[in-house]
Amino acid sequence: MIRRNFLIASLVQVLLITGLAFFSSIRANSGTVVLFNIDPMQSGYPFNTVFRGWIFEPSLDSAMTKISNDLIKEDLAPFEYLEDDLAAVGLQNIFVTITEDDSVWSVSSASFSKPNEGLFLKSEWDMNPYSYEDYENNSDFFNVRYEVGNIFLSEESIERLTECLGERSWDTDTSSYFWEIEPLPMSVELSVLDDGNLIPLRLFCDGEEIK
Amino acid sequence: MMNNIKWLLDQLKSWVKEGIISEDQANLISSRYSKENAKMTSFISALLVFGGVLVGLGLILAMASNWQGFSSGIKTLIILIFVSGFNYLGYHFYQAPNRRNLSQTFFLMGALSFGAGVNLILQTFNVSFDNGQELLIWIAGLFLFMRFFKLLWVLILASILLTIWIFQTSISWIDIAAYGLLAFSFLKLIFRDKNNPALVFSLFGTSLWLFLLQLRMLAIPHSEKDVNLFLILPRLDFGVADALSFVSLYVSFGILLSILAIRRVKEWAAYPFSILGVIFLYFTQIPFTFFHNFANEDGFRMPIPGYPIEALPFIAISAFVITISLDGLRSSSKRKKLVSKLFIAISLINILLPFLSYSNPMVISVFMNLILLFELIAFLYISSISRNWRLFKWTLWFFKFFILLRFFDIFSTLLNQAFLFVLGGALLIWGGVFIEKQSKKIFDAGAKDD
Repeated sequence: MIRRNFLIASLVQVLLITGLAFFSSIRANSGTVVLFNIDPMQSGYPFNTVFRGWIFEPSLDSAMTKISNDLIKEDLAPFEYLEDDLAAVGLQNIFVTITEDDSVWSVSSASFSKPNEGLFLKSEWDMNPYSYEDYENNSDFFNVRYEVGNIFLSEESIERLTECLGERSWDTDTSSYFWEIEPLPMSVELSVLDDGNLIPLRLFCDGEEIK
Repeated sequence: MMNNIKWLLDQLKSWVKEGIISEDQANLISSRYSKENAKMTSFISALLVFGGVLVGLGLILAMASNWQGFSSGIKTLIILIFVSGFNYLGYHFYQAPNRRNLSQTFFLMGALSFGAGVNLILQTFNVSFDNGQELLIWIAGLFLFMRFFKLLWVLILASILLTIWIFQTSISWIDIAAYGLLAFSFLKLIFRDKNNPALVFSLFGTSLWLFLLQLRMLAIPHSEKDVNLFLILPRLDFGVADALSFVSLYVSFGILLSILAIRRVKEWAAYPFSILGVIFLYFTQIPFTFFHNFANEDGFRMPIPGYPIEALPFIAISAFVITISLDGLRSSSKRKKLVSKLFIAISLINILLPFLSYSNPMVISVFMNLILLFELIAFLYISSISRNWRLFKWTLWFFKFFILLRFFDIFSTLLNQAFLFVLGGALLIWGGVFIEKQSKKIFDAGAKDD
């Protein structure tokens, strides 16, 4: 009896680990693989965690995040307002459809509802106050933010990544970063799933694979 | 040392047979050295567990360092070998009664490597969870082991993981229901194994869960859909009534734990029930005894009263406390009747606490002081006549703490601060010595009256 119980409990653990590995692999491979450029200004610096080591969360560059108002299908009225004039937190999902032209992917349209066809990325209206000001001051475009997810890096890769991200300092006068050493061009390979969610696959710096 | 004790215990049997010593004398000697033996065993157990934790943490760090050189298949295989290997060793030694400590250590190492493995798989495939689902997978992997075997350290680890998970949830109804079910299953295992440390973590987790449940209820008028509560929080006009409702929630939980301690529902758990009961009961109320200090702040206004639906959790707990206290009213013992009356009175006052928000800060402050003083005296009385020394001692500490706080609050504007601290310290020392002497007398007097 005790032997049988041990075997059942062990089998459950084995199934959980192999099942997790299997489904994660299937899910990542089920999407369309697309290479996007990264904006080092918006990407955070890598940080270390206890269970999963070094984590880097890339942000896509403005070619994907700055959407022209002409491309959105519906009326632009996504904000609710609170009494103190702050934008409310009910974030609006925006589905950004992309098309490929000569191996370069670009935004072709955007919609508040899920498109029925084409390759699209799920994003949220960027509630960053600076981008909100941009929107207020310049109504030609709006900004979106993608949940690209985390890229987990090895100890060996992290040094290369920090080199790629350059060296930046905070400028108190302009309240923004300035680069003492310029970052290198970086890109991320993403698996775009059918529902618009993204899974990072590989990270590149100056054309070389980091992970 | 261990060999010497074994030799002595063997010799005792033969000395009794030979009539050199009596059986009582032999028992007396062996009991003395059994204690030594127990101390030595617990020392060895601590060493083994410490070693197991170090090995487990080492594995977690090794896996977190993300070995780039291996394919995902090889990584999965390595994890499975570690997890299964440690678990097998745990199982192997579990069957040998004198190797139970070693077995517990290997099972703990298996549990830690399983968690490291789950995280490594997620890391390998760049999977990010927002709401700590990896902890749930980790707990799910440990559950059957805890169910089938009596695993002290694995159950403690799983209780810690569950408590951490509740911090990471999106506070959706599904998460709240999931935690409720898991906590219930865990409590069954904890009571079966009489695992005191796991009980403490589990009660902390449950208290947090109750908080989130009430917060979720508070958000109902603001959330049409079951969306992430953190997105709704800025919309809440969190008022004094809401804050008092949370105080009522913790006070009711504290009363419930104290009743469980007094009634000795689980004799082995009386200690955590007493301490946590008193902590929840008093720490949540003390900030409101200073509420009058807020009245003079610029821009202070009494916010709107809360929503009645948020009161459901603490009313439910208080109703349960009152129901079980009603039994005592039918008792022939006058003391039991009085204890039940006191618990019912405390619970009723607690239910009415949020209504103080209709008054002003000074009234809230005065009432909270009076209520706290009443509860402290009632608990001192209840714990002394119910012979719960731990509850009595802890209540007494809070009583001293409360007196000291009031001293600082009242005299801080009247006296020089340095002088105040000297006087406060002296008062504390004198009060501590005096009350410690008196408490023993009061407690013993309660015993004689029984």
